[in-house]
Amino acid sequence: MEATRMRHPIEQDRFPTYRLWGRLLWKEWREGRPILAVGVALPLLTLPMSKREGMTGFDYSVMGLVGILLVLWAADRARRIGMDRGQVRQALPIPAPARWIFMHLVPLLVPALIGVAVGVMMIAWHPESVAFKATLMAAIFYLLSTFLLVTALTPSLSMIPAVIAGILWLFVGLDLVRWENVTPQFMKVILLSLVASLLWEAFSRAGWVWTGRAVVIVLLLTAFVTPDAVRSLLPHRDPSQPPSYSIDSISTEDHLISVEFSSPESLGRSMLSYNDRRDNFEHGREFPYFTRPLGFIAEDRVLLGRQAPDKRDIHLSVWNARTDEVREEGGLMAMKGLLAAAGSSELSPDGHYLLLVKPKKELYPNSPQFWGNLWMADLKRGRAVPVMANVLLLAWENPPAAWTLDRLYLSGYGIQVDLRTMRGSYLTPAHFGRTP
Amino acid sequence: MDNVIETRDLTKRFGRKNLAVDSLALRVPRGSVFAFLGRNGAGKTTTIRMLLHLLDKTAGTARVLGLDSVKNALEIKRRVGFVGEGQMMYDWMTVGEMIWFCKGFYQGWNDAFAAELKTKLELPGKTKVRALSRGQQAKLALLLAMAYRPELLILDEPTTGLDVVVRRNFLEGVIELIQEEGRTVFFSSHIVHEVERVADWVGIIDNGRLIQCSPLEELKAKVKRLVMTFETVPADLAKRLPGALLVSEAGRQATAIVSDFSEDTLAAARALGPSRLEVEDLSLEDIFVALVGHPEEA
Repeated sequence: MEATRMRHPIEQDRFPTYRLWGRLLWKEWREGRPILAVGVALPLLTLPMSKREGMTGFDYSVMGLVGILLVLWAADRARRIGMDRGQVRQALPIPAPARWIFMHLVPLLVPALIGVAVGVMMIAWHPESVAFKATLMAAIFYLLSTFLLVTALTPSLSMIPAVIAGILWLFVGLDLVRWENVTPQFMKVILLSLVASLLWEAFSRAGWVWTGRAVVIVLLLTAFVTPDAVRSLLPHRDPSQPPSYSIDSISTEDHLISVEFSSPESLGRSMLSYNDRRDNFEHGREFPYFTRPLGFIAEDRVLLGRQAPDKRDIHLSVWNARTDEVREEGGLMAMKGLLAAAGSSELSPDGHYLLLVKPKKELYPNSPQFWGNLWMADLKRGRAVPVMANVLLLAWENPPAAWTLDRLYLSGYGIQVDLRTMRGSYLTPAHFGRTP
Repeated sequence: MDNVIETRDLTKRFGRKNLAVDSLALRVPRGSVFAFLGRNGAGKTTTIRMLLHLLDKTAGTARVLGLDSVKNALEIKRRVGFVGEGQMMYDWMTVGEMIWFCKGFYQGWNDAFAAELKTKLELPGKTKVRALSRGQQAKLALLLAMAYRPELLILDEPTTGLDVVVRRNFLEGVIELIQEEGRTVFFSSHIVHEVERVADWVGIIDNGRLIQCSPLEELKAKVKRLVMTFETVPADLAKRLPGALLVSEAGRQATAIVSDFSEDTLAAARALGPSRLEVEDLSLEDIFVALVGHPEEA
């Protein structure tokens, strides 16, 4: 039966949308304001100190603190979405588009703005070597992914597990705040978290709470638990992996160059420090990730190599530590991760060849001796090849190298490498004084 | 009669097995105070959520204020006041902020009426919602649902969690406020004895099916208790008494609660040959227990 009803004022006048949007904006502002203020202010407060060379523990602490603050807020915000369901959806007449925008999109502005602040902070530290747009985008997406992850997990797992997962993601992800390293994994986490949040909403609306929980958890596990992430969380080293002897310093009689943040597990970038003992000249400079010193070309000029762990190509450059000029020198092809795994390097005096020692396995646990492979790079031809396998070497010294035009001798190890054929062999005893 | 709520074969199924609401045909007359009764889990909240399109229905139709519950869900929310069971509110807002916030969503919001309600309900304006007692929170939810003078007020278990005194005042206060202007109140409850004082229409839902829907007085006139004394209580008493809902025996005395009480029922009772026969009125609670049949839970 069609009811006859009173005319309502709403039917006579158009409803003022600006009032509705204004109220919802006000609510979001009130709920996000303290986090926004602290999250944006903290990174920016570090900027006056940006003339220091390299990021310090303080800077990383600020980034970590801002991230943890955001994680806590995301968990609280997810709890508030429950209130939104109680209030905004149940009681208040809000059109679906406005409801969707204010429940899902507007809260994302807070992590995005904090991401901008963190990005600006990082750019301020690395003006010479950071791609402006890429770093900014990476920081924004990194914090967005953290926010979405916690938001999607909270209704399914409750706040505490969601916060723990968010903080773990922070520490796993902090290392990845560079666009070239994060794109696939970040996009996966962002998209799956967003899909998980929306699916959760749909399932809970239909009353399928447990199905919704299962779907959210499966989606997030797919996004979050990758072999790399699991490996990075494990405290121990995989015994099948080679021991880590990354190149952390090279020296000559008068010069020393050392790496302060060189490990892929460390935060930030490769910080190279140069020291000339003759006049006590010291200078430091930050380089992109995975940059290693390979050898001295001349007194103040250092050959540097950079290879991403999942790439075959090694980028070469020469750094004049005295004038602080960097010149690109092309590159060479090698196996993936060779540079990260190399424990030491020796550059031939003419700069033509480079010996790299790649450790494989310790002789026994914590032994100073290890089994390794020798690689030789022909820098002019742009390729690196293995020249000898399973050589027993000492961890605390570079193999003493003696170069001739066509050979390399590793004295003390009885090894020679033919530079023409790129093959290594053990020296055979010489038969002095015998005649055939 | 003009109905503000009208459903036809309204059905909600959760999964394949759980039939929460089964082909409901509900009619709520305009201007009534309609009590929607049922045990816990009977389907009251599910029905209300479908009426306001907070939940998708599986089948059937529902019209609220003459509007389709799905197509006109927004319009219905604008014209219906709703207080849900344990309805959450933004606990960080003060009472004053909450009122100001909600005001922005209703064209018909009446500031003077809201202020009057605030005074009447003794709500502190500067206190945060989280600091309010449950009774005060329920009152605030009521204020927010009434301040725009809705044509229909839907209350889903509005007194759950409140103590006896607050509950009594709350329900009476609501009815007094809303009925001054001849508006309709539709409220669900499983605390039956409180409903009797305020409701004039009753609908009873059990296992998702509407088993009774009538004016309260009509219901009370239809369901009676017969107290009969026999030399020997007939073994087939329940079968011979038309409309018998509950029959109990204590020595020579038998008690039967019958539905659709009439002269025919009386004649059938007399035909059983009791030495004494009394017809007693029942409270709504007794009727409810007889109809849904689980006294220990009611």
